[in-house]
Amino acid sequence: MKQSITAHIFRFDPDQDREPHYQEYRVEAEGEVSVLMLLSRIYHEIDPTLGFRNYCCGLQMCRSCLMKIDHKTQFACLTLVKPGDVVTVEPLTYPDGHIKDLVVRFPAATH
Amino acid sequence: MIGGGGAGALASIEASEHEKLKIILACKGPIGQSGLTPTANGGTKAIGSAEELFKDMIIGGSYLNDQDLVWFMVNQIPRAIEKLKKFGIPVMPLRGKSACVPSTETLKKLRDIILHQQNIELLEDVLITSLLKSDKGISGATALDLTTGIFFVIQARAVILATGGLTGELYPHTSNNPFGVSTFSSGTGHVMAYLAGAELIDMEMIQFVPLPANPKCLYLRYFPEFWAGPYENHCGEIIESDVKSYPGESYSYLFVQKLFRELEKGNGPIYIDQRNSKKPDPALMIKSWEMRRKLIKSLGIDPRDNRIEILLGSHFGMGGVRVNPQTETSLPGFFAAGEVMGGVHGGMRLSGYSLTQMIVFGLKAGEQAAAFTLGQGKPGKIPMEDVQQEKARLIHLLKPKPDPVSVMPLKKALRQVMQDHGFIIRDQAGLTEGMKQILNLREDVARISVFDSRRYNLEWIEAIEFSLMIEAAEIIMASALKREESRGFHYRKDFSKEDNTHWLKHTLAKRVEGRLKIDSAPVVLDRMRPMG
Repeated sequence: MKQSITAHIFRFDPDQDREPHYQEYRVEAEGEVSVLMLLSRIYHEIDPTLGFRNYCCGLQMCRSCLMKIDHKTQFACLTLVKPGDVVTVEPLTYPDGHIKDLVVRFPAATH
Repeated sequence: MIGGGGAGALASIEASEHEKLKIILACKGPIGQSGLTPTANGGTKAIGSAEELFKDMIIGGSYLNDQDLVWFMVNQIPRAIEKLKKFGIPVMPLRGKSACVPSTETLKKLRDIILHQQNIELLEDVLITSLLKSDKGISGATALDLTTGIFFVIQARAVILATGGLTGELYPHTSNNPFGVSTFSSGTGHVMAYLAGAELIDMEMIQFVPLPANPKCLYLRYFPEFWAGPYENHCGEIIESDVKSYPGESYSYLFVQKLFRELEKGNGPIYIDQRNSKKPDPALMIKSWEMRRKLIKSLGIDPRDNRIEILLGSHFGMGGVRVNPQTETSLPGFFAAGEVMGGVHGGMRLSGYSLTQMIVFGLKAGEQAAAFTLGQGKPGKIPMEDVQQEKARLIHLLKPKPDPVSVMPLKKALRQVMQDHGFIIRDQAGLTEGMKQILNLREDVARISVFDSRRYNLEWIEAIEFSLMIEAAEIIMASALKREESRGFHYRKDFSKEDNTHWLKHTLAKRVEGRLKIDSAPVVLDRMRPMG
């Protein structure tokens, strides 16, 4: 049997929700995947309402996928998780510049 | 200004030099964090005589290039590079005829300039959904603020389209999606132009390239030493060990067709196996990339330690909106620059020439649209019913349907049609079947239903773009059906020879009375002709 990666993801749509909450997803995986790929799989396979910047430059340069992974600021494209892992994913900033779920308006300093 | 890649950013800055003008720059993500420009590693053809670069491009493009566009581009390179340097962008010598214009640093710099330029209003996270026609030509666009879901109209005296490529979303495997994450290169700009009445040229010409099969390994495509091969089939037999012998090297259609035939024979998968190769040729190695070489080791994808499986996927669209060297389309007040413009590369794009195209024509579009605007009075009158109709189309996607479908499986199905019938080797039967399947999928568009939430709703964005993507797919297939010969990246099994007698012609796709019509027009060969 394939093992799962468990993700606790910060969810908050100011138009629909009263307050933020964490949603748990279990994603079956055969090997290591990046957190960005994990989010992409959750969006495509489990929950199309998940908001995140679904973009990758592939060169670790654009900083579009900067977010808090296990409470530390990390590139989601480079941070790998493996089956059996539990990972917490939160937006880079909240409430300042927060748009929805993991999407934020980038502060000038990260550009 | 539509699009926040290199062409759009440069065009905006160039136009903003006229203090009287106001420029609105709309892009679907933040500049530097969306589109294809940030995925480019910076190689730019910048050195060499205009004559030499011109010859390389025309021969590389199998004489299908628009020679006026190419001639203009190669002659403008020195001026464009000077301009970049003036903006404070580092242009460093690379190898051969190339310089490095590091894409992300460039966009960061350009974004800074844009933010400080009083007369540019930057609208990031704003998706343009259609162009608006008026009595004067193209006079604006409908827009969706992705962060709020609010629909609005932008009126303008001139519109520049710089929306980039179209091949990423249309094929299952593509270089456009680094690490397997989409850049949403979906051809919506091409289709918005087409729906507004512009002509699309040579849309059948799509560059396919060998790519690592595992998304994690896509990073390797940035390393020139990786492409040297050798390429082997599943039995370990060498298919090709000398990629350099092909004009265009691993970008060559001849090479890609060779790999495709090997797969067709059932000899796949194909691998690049460098485990026993001698050290990579130092001439191929980019010096400042030691950190990146360490990264491929730590990701466990170093080709010196692992055999890397290769697939073939989409890379670049040579076709696009038909323009002249002034970036003018056939519609007044409407300009196009960057990958969305067609005709520059003919049947095959050579490595390094897309950033050159982006820089030269981005700057030109800004200059030309500014000059046009200064000569104009008020913007043309936009019919309100067109705006209402577009708004209704977007909102309809959010409505519950009796027999709903989700956009994602439709997109997957469309990609499969393109892979099966509009890929590297084509023929009449396949293309006709592909068109039929596209028409069937088009009927499903009305049933697409998306969860009703307006704020940064990714699925809604995909659904909005899908109905345009499906038009792009049909245009590619119909153009491929029209070209009854093989040239560059367009290979027809039923017309396997290049036919200079009948097909030194462009295909032209246009919407006539609400229907797609494909015409052709002779290539103007006044600067260089094929031998014989």
